[in-house]
Amino acid sequence: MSKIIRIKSKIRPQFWLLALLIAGLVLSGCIPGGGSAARGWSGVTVAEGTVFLGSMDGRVIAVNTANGTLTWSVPLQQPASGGGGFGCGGPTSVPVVIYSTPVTNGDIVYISGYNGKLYAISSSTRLSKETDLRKDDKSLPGALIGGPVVAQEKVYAGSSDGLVYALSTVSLDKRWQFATGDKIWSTPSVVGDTVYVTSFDKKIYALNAGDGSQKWEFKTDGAIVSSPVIDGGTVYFGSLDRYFYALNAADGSLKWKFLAKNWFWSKPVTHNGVVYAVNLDGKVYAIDAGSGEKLVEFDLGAPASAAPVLVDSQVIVVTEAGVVYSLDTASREQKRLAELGDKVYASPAASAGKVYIHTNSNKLYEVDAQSGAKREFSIK
Amino acid sequence: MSIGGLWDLIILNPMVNVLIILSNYLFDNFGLTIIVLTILVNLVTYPLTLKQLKASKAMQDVQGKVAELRKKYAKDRQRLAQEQMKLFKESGVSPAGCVLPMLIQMPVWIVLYQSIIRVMAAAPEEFLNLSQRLYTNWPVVFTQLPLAHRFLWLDLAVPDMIMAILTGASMWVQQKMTAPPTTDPQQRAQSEMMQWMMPIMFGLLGLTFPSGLSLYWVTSTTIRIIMQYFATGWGGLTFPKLGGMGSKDKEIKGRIVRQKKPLTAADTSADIVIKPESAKGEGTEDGKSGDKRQDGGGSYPKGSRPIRRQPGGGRGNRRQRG
Repeated sequence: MSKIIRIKSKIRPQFWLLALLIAGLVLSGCIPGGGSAARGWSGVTVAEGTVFLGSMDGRVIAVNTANGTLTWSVPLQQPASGGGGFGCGGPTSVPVVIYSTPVTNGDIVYISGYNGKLYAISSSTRLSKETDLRKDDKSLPGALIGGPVVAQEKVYAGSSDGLVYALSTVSLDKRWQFATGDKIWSTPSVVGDTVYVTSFDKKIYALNAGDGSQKWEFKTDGAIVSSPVIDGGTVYFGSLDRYFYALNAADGSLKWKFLAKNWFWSKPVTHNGVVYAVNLDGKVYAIDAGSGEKLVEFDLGAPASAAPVLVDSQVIVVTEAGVVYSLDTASREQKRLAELGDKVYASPAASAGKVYIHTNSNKLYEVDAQSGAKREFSIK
Repeated sequence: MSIGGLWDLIILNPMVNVLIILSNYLFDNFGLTIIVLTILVNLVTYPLTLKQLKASKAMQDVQGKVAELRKKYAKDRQRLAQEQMKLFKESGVSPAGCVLPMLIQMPVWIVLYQSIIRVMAAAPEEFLNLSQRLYTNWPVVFTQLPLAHRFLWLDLAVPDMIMAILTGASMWVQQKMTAPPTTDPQQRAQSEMMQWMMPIMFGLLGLTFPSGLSLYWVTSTTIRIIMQYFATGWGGLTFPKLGGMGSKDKEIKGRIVRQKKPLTAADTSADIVIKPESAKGEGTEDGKSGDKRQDGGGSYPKGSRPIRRQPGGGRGNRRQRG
């Protein structure tokens, strides 16, 4: 014992300090919020009584809304990167991280992965097809974060390699691609023959849906993550420069812009000539769609990054803290609907008066938009 | 508010915002920003670093004497502690002098590391969370993000093999410079373990963490090496002499020669003589250390000779033979 004490006493204090420093560095890189790895936050889609989403463990899931049971799930796997570091002897394949909200087109569910691949899964046969959008150059950081959108027999998706892709809905073959100046994290919007897409290069682009040629572009002062909404010939979107913009859909000219205190991250919703824009300052701004004047602001008390959803005349918004609010568009009253007790980054979806919310703990909730009654669906 | 929340509010968030603002003035170049901020933080903490380096050097210089005391009073721990304290006092060495400045600087280095990893925000979650750290009255921090990740050949958000090697190599040099000369086999083993453990560990971390962090580690270590050189010399780092023998070779040759013939006074001219432990006259008459030299070797009694600097050993490089 005395020998141990003697040896310990001989160890220089610098040794312990350095060991402490290393432990601190490693721990601060590993603890939640300290250099965490990508985990995903797939949003939810509802179609014909089925909820579709990408789970946190890399599966595409279909849940029956009537009885809340899992209808089917298809695991998406990718080869392990080899990792290195301290995770020696890891698995050969790992689940695909999913940020995108799936989209349905008849029997097919389309979803994109953080591995740069777009998947098409048959809801009836569970057969899947995939295409690597980085197939020309695998070294490109082509993670797909925004979701796909289907229109006119094409699937459109933006990638972190800065390209907008238009693919065949059947074969997933590339029809055209358009290069922006930086990453694309948003989901494109398609109205008529125009594709609207935002980019980290601070611009929004209007592209010809047929051949991908550019119609117009508009530059803001910040990167753009928010997906655009087109309503009544106006394009609405927010930017990281803290402004919310309204542009003429025809030529991209500025109608008005509105300043808030933090980033506009999520896709807005419009209802009866009012735009509801969620800001990361913890507020929802109701802005007159014509003039750009603020009508009212709703204080959520915490930031919300998930896009709001419209249920009848109510705007339902979920904060990052997992609190569900109902904002009445007529009376402008704010109601606390439910508390999920879990973090939420993913955008919800609504159907038949119910809101479906996917939490960061990989739980799926159904919340009644009127009463706030909630039930948890099993997605294991 | 929790300690973590307080740390974020008072220390981490200001550093994050400063980092982003600085990148705005440095041509939107995040790599350059990491280098400049690391230099600035080093300049601010320079007095503490200098204090620590000098205290460590002084501590190293008395290690030989401490080893002798340990041998002498191996069975009397109380006496050993007394004698050690006496030695430290006479030599003007304070054990806390090495540790305290390091302790004060540690939060600074941790916050610099944390702020770099936060601002780099490789994963979408990290980037989203960054919004809550930004100062609303500094509009530029909102528009400045995300910061450009390209610097030289590097994507600062992903690991890089060359930077990992540079991290390990620079840390090895620094460890070598700080390694204390010792005759105690246990301490020598421990010292050698330190020399290799740190570089290997940080090299491995460099293979796993974004190369922006490796850039910070390499910059920081390089600055420390420069500071250390000017404060205490090359220390334990020796260079092989081109076209001739290195200091280590000379030492080995010296040993061989001495094995062949009895040691004479002339032989000691190329080597080091350790002062007898019973030597009197250390320091000044008032009992305080009169040593003002860089190597801190103290005054020498008659019959012994001062240490001769090793060729190529640089300033403050001293070896002792037990």
